[in-house]
Amino acid sequence: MSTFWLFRTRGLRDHVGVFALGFILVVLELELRLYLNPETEGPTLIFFMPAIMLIASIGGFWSGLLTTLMSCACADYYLLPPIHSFGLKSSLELTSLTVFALTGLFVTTICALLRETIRNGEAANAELVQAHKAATQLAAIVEGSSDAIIGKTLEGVITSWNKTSATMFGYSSAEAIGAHVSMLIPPSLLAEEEFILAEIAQGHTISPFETKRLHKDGSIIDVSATVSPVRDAHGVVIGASKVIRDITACKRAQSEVQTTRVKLEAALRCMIDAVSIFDGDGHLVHVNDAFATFHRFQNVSECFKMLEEYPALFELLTPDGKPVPFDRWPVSKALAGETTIGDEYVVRRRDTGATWFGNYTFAPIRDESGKITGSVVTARDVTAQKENEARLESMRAGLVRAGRLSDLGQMSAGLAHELNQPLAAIHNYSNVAKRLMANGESSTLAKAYDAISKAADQAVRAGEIIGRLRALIGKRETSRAFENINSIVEESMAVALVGTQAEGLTTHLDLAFDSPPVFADRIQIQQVLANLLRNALEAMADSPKRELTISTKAMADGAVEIAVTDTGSGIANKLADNLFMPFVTTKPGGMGIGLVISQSIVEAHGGRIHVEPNPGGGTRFTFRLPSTPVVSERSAA
Amino acid sequence: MAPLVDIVDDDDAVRDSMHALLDSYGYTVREYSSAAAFLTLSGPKPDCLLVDQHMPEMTGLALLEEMRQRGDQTPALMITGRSDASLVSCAAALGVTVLRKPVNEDQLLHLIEAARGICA
Repeated sequence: MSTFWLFRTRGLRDHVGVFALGFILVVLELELRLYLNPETEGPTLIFFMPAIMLIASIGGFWSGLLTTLMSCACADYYLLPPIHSFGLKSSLELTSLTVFALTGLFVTTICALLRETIRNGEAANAELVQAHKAATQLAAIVEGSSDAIIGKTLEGVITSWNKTSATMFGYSSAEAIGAHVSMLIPPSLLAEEEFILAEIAQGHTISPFETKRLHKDGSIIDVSATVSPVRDAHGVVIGASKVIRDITACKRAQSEVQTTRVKLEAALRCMIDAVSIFDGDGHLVHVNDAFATFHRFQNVSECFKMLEEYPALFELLTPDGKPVPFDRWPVSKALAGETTIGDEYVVRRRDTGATWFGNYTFAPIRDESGKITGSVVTARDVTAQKENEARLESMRAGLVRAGRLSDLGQMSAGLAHELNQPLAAIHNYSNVAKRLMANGESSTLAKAYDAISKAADQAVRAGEIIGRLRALIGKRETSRAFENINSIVEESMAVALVGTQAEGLTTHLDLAFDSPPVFADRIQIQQVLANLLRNALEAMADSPKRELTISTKAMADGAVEIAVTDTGSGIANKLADNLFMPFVTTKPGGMGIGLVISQSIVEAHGGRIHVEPNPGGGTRFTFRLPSTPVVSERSAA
Repeated sequence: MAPLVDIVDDDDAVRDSMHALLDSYGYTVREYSSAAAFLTLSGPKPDCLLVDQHMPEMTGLALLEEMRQRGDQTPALMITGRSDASLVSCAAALGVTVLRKPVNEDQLLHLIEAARGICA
């Protein structure tokens, strides 16, 4: 700003009116002077002064100057002698005119100055009003802001504190204003504030950054802050304004999302089931390691990223071998909105020909509006399970055969007893006949004949029994080989426990995995174990505690000892001695032959079944099997 | 008076043939088809009892135990189709010898006579 403002021209057009007014006033004043005093004598120039003052006040310096010149010209022409001439009669008139011109110039300057001063004052006042209005609005915005807005000096003294600051930090504005901003900063972050103040002093704005602040109660608040310098009218930085947003909730939500994600990923990683998530466009969004394993990929990174790539390498078949078209694959069905648990398919890799059974569970993923945005499919390789089922099935069939053998064994023992009877009778009758014939008396011949006839009948009876035996036994196969006793035990368990009342039954398998292979007939030993296990289960039928323990133990002599222990009713001492005799039984309806057969099988294997009370109640049966072939005269019943 | 031998056996042919054999040696023989039948019938005590082990309801050993418990010390022989060490020892405890079927005639007669001797 300079003093030249006094002389500035504001455009001629604006001043034409003022100039015209000046001209009229000058003419009017000339007329007034001539009317009041027609003589050229008397005061001449003073009449023009009001016009000059008025025009200078209205139009400013240049208008006033023009009016002064016009006044000088009129006075010279009309009032100063010689009249009606611009010439001047004497130096007195020249002096007078000059003085007038200078006075006019002076008055014009004064009036123009006054005018400018007044006008500037008005403008300043208007600006002030405007500024005040803006400041009020700004204050309302600051006060109503949901962010904390804090003003502070370059020394860090708080100068303003809005309502949100109070709620965010717990200090009232009375407490905060005048206090040092460091009360809001965790001790570990005080260096940060020093840096901020230094940056602000340099005139830099600090863009939004995430940091932590301290509440009055000592709790830490996660915030996002922006700091800008505050300048005075001359542009000098005098402080800073800080806008702080509480992002604790946002942080917590972020952290929760992150935690959930981490947990989910960990869970997916641990899952044995293959898990895949595809989006609605068939992009692979997520898979776990099990997915790679399931599909016989080396690792997750090998898995195809697009759903449409899979049919080229994989083929899906129904369990009965019919190909499943791609649009009926579990993932396609899920993307079409279907949900299913436990669908079974055969998966085949086209390159290697590897085939396996997959048990699939799948569902679509929907957004809030219910639109399908993806699919989640889990698959479990059930090939081993399927094989086990098949193995168990064949074993069951084998045991049914063994069961028949068991029936046969029982029958054989029974038949052996039965056969002995007629043989004994034949023997007796023959002896009688022999004796009677030796006497040679005719009276005894009839008796001898009778005895011989009866002996013959008994021989026929024995023959019939043998015939029945032959028909029943058929081909009795017995083959011994080196067998893993633990697997025999497990198979026998699986079969013996099928269909039994599993409720309340605790089964312990205490198997010695260092035990050598035993030389045995697998089916016969299964028969022995199945018999012992059945006995144990029956003995525990009414026991409050039902614990079945099967153990194998490698013995020092190379044999393996197998023990079946129950917590059942136990065996009365009196009965224990006769336990291995045929027809001795504690079971209603029992034949009393199972243990006899078992004993004969074990004896044929060079061992013997021992029975003893279980110290905890119940009974313990043990027997040993050799790990080397033995020669035994006895054979299994 | 001819010696009296009682036979307890559930098998008709075995019982009858044994009867015929002992009869040919001049013994008086009574037959019983079960242990219960022997225990319920009254009459003179036999000089010797021949009892079969394997019988339904009550075995020969059980019958002998029952008799001994009743204080009946009648000499007895047990006849069985199957030799079993524990059975032999059980019977021995009751003073009973076990014979295996088919029975050796001489051994049988010898043991009956021996039993009669004890009795007498």
